Amino acid sequence: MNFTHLSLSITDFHVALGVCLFTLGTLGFLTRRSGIIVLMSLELMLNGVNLCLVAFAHMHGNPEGSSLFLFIVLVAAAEAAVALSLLVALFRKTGSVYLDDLRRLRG
Amino acid sequence: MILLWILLLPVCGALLNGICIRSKNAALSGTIGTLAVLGSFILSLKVVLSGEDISYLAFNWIEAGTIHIPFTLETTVVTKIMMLVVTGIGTLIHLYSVSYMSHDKSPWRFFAYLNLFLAAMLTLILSGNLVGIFMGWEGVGLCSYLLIGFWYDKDANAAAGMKAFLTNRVGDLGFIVALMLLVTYAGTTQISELLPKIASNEIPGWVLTAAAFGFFWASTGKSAQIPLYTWLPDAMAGPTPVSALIHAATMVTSGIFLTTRAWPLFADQPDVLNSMLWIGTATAWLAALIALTQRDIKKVLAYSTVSQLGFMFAALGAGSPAGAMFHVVTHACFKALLFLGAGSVIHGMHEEQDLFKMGGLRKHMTWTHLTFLIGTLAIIGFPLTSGFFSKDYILAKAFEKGPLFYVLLLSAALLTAFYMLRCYALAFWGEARSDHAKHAHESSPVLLLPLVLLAILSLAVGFLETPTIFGDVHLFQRWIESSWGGWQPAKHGEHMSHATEWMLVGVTTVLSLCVAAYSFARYKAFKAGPECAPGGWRRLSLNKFYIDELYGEMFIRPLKLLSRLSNKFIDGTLINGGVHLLRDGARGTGSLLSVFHTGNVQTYAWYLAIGTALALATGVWFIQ
Repeated sequence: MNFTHLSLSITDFHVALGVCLFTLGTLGFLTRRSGIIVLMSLELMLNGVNLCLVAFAHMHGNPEGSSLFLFIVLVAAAEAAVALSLLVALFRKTGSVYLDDLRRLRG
Repeated sequence: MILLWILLLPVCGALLNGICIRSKNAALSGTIGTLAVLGSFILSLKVVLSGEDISYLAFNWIEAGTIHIPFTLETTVVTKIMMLVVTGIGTLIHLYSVSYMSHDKSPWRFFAYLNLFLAAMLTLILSGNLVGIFMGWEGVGLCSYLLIGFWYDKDANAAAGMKAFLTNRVGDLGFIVALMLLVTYAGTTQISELLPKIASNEIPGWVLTAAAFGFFWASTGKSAQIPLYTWLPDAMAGPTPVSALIHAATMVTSGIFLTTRAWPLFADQPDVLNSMLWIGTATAWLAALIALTQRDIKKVLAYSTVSQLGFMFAALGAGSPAGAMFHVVTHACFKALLFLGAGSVIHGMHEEQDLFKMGGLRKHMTWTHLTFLIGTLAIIGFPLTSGFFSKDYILAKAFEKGPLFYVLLLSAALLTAFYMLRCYALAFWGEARSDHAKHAHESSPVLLLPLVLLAILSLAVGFLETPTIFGDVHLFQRWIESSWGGWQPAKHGEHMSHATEWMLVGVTTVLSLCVAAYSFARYKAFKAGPECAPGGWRRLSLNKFYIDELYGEMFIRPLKLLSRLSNKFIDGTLINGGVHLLRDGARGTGSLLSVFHTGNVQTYAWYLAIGTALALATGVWFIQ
């Protein structure tokens, strides 16, 4: 890569931040054992992607991207509610939210 | 059409008894069975009295390319004679069974099988096509199997049925080969088309010889000749009416019937005829020797049947189908009578069949005794009974063929006189040798009526064919010789002189009666003695010359060994091994792959992440 004419715009920072969030989320998702934290990491990944979406929408001066973001947040909130209630149900059934304990589907 | 009805009536009876009604009441199922056969008998009588030969095409059966096999029913003289014998004696035996099977658990099954047997036998007799005859041939074999093993809860009975069936299959191979040869080289299996072709020498000679040998081989199975006779004595495991109808009077004579029906095929085959003559004579001898010492009354009669069938084949071999058919008819009467008499004895003795445990029965069973005596006299050839004429006819033919055969057959006839009088004297004379014999009772009139009718027949049918010195009636010879369409047997030699005839008849009769008298005197007051534990030749005879054991060692053991080996190596190693290899392969691959299947959702997430990363890396690498 060529770093000689490196000039950073505001978009670059936002995208960089989004990538960081996504990577952190991925690491959390892959390594943490508690179901709740895994869910939180998942949200982090989603929001990293969302940040990139907004940044690119701003770069192109296109308001549709920003409005799409609002919808995504809405859906994500609903999805988080479902996921959390699943976790609660799991906890009631098995007494644990640790993913290592939930491997009953192993053949 | 009337022929079809003769065939269908027993079928209807079998269906009604076997499928629709299934009555446990022997009187009901017996009446249905008897009426069906009686109907067939009346129709047969009508056909015979009308005097015409009928040919009826029922339907086109097999149409395959050039092979054209219709299902036809035809009558010729041989057919009519057999038809009358089978339905007539069949009716009497059905009637007898009504009483005999009255205490059985499932009489409906018995009568259904018996009717089915008659249907198959009539197919065999009436079919104008060798393939149709083969169907009947197999059908009677099946019914024989079913009826031998009728009381199948005893292992011995089931085994006897199996033995009969399998032995017959060995014989049937010859029939199939002969059929294939005829289809290939003669192009037809229709007897009425085949016979002219044989007469006009259209078919290669070796085909005819091979086909004749094939049919003869099949006949040794069905008609119990050496080497395939061993099933018939074991077949006595079936109920006694079955022994009388199937294993004495009708089915076992189908080999002789087949040979007579297609006689032009055999007439010019000296090799086939000579082997028939030798095998018939040898069988007559061997079976008579075995019959000398048997203790079971039915076994004596069974070996006697084998021996008499040997006489019939000797007659065929001597070139006289008329003599063979004549003996078939007389034998059917007196042997059915003897078996039914034995059945009556067994019934009166509470299922005891051992001759050494009988004795003195003439006091308790007047009618059975009288009719059994008539049967015995007929089979040993007492003057003017039916057996006298038919056996004399065969002996005369054997004499024409060569004095050696005459002497051999005559000695077999003397053995017959010995063992039959032994059997008769042991059963009916002397002191009662067991409690059952002391308290034996006469059978019911329904059971005795067929005995009396058969006794009358045994005395009367002989007069259909008498030698020159006894009135010179030659109905049988004339009838039989008119049954091959235009084909006529070659006339041979001059007629036997009266002096020779007198001499033959005289020698046979005097010797037979002497032997019979000796045997009677010897066994009249029999007491359980050394013969109960025989040694020497008697043991050899009692154990049937160990022929069964010999066959067991020669054929059955190697076959069983082969089966075991193939079970172990072909089935076990090769087939099972192959299947197991596939199974183990699939299982191994599965367990190898299941390492990746941890059940933990995060492992899968890792796969996803790594996969995505690899895909992206590859994409980037390609773009650059």
